Amino acid sequence: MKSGSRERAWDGCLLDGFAKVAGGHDFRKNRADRFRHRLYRKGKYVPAKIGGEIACVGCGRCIDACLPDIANPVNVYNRLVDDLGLE
Amino acid sequence: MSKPSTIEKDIYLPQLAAIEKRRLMNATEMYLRLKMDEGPLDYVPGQFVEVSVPGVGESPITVSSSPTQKEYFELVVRRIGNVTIAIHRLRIGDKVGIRGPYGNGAYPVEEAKGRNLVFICGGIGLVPQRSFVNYVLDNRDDYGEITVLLGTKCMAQRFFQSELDGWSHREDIHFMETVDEADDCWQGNVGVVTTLIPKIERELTSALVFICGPPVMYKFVLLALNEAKVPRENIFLNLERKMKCGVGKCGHCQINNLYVCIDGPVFRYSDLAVAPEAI
Repeated sequence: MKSGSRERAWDGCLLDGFAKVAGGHDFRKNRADRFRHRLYRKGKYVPAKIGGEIACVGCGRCIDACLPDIANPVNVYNRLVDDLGLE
Repeated sequence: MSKPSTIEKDIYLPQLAAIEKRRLMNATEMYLRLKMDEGPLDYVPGQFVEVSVPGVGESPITVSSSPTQKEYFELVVRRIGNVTIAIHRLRIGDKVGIRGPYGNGAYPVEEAKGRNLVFICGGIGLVPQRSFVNYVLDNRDDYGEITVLLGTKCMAQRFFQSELDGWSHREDIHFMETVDEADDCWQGNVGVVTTLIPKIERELTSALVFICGPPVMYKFVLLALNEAKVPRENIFLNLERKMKCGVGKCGHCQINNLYVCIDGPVFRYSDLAVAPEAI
């Protein structure tokens, strides 16, 4: 091989088909499931695995990009604590 | 130019393996026998490898042969996407990249010693289970009775036919098979695999049960096992997902907090009680 190129493709756990398998079954078909998974992953799964309080670097890009204004993880986690009394 | 990483072995770097044998077993399933260029693959039944075709991509495939067979390992690949189509086009002597084996939660080979084992397979779910079944047959004295139930969609989709015929003629393994849709040439059981479960009630008591099949199968098999009063601790589910990276980075195979590629692919049912995405 004399040359090559580096290819990159978008991927993200909120995108449709992220958990789709070859047989066609999609394990997180609903948007709500994927949204839930994203917040659980940042707020619970990853910290439980490797420590730390939250697995979010706080760049704020999701807040800027979100038109219905639901993505702000600060708001979500605060509401979970204030309204539902979750830790 | 950047210096090559000296910290650890690159986790994404595949090793080469050559195709020694290939055979199309039915319309979509390809049997491949591979040999690693550098030493044998060291794996436990249930573990999977990432098979890569240069320029196309990578797919997670569970090893189908028993590790008692050291010279080579076997895969069964269903033609379903870009990578698997490319794998089907490969010829004998061609090289593929292999990463792995991956999966810390493979079949509980040690725990199962001395126990009776029941394998419930649906279609291509036979492929991962076959690794453990053959492992048990190769170490026959270490294990109790073995029962294998297999459900296939139709006669034309059956594969490993001569091996399955061998199982059905052996005295030390109880093999039962059914097809969903019967035709004139089929004289065996008809119906989905759950219809066989009431027939093995005696074998199910105190046995470890291993399930692998299409996603829809698990729910119904678990209902039938619940009816047969099999405790959840004795049920093991082989939950294959899209294990894209294989090393717990990408999150494609995540079931809530569990990574199929690291924690699985075989899970004890009682450990999954709080994981709603699993079944």
